[in-house]
Amino acid sequence: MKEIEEIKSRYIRGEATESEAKILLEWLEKNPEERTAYYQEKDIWDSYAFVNNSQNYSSEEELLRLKRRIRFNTKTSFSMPRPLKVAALLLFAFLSGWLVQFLVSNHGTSDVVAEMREVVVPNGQIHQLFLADGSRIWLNSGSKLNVPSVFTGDERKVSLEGEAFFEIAKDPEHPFKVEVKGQTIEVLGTSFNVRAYPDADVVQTTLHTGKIKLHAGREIVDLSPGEQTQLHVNTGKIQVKNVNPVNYYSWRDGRYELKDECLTDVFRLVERWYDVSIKYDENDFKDMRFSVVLKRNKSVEHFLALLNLSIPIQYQINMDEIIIEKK
Amino acid sequence: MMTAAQPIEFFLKDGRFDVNKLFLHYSKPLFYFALKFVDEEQAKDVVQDVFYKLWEDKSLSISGSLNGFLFTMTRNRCLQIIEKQKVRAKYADAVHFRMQEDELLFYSNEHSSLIEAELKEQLEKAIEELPEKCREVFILSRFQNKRNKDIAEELGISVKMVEKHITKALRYIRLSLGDYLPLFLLLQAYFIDQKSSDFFS
Repeated sequence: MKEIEEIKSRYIRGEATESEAKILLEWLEKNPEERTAYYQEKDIWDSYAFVNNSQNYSSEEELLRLKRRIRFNTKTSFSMPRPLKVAALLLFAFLSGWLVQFLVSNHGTSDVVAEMREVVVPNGQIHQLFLADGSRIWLNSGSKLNVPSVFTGDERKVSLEGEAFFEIAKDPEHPFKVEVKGQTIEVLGTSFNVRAYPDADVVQTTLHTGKIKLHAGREIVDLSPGEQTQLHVNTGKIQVKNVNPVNYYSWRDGRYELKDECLTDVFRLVERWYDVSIKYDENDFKDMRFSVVLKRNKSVEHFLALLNLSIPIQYQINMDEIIIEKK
Repeated sequence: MMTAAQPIEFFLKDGRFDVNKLFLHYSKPLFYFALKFVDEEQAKDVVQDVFYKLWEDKSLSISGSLNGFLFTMTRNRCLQIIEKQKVRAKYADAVHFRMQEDELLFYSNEHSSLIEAELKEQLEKAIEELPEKCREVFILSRFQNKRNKDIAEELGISVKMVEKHITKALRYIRLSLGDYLPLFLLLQAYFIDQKSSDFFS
């Protein structure tokens, strides 16, 4: 009995060992009538920490921390003083002189209260956004990203349709996951590019730095920097290639490098990049492959001229519509 | 210094809760309450989470006292953390978390912490009323964080005696605060019925 008094006292002062804690726990279970008195006495001991303000706790500092956290997750307008300040749930910033636009959902309303946010980037534009966790995402023309207003739970999850370059802040406790057509990319802290437009047959994932794990159906692929996977959506087949990753995210800087791509896919990318529509006869360009560098500061005619060098064509431009025929 | 719960109007500004006042008033007691069960950094985060949730969860509806509501939220958040650590802990370490959990579960509607009851002044007074030797030992141990061995040496008494004085002091204070225990319920008299969507302006 003497011993338990000592253990009780030691536990209150935080000096009890694991085995003493075990004895105390068993004792409390056996003597429920003593439990209230014991915990009240411990509470008295603990409460003096508050009375005496013994900890280094600043309410003012913590309030600022709370306000920062709230601000990160609510700012939805673009009235922020500096575009690059990480200050909002989603902050749309200027990129190389393109228009900043606060994007609204398809219905034309900004869904401030919605749990999930849909960020839609129109053709011909690029957007950069900052997430509250410190991650950055660049969205290429004609892309759509679904991102929750706040990351809750064990993982940070977004879904993408289109092309984006991700620079993900490290947080091993909360893995970042990107869901795209036919695959899930699991990230710990890294940068990579994904191209997964709904009308393309291939989903392309290119790793720049770090490590990612790609889940597609039953297959799991670990990617190392400089590696690229190509998932063929219809067959579910995955190919891994070594590439120069720079070519796959230079679009952020207004330089879109397309290497040995299916020509009809190239047309679709050109449509998004320059916000035009291209009409052509499917049979004319079937199974042709093409490499080209599209530049933001060059017009679509520049592209047509380059195309003409490898494949003789005739074209007609009516406003935003381009009609291409094989010569 | 607060001796009783502040009436709810204290926190109202234009019919909404004023986050500044609310936080400045409650964060510290909530922090010290959380500190009973989790470490310092975790306790800070717990308080952040409680207020963040208050702001974020538009469907939260408060019934009962605001005080009780905040402490319950804090308690639940601590419980989540302990549960998580308990699951991860090796068997040998799990006892500690089980003990913390048991103590945490003690704080229910039936029992509140003295911190929640805002009995700061009474706690201060209670020390003054301790028998002299007992008070001396308690102050050296609790406020000057001296080890029992050092206190024994300083006062020329045995370590066992030091232990006894501390145990006695805690029992003495518990009994002297006994009168206030029914007051715990009274303190919850400030009822509110306010959706937290109207929370911070």
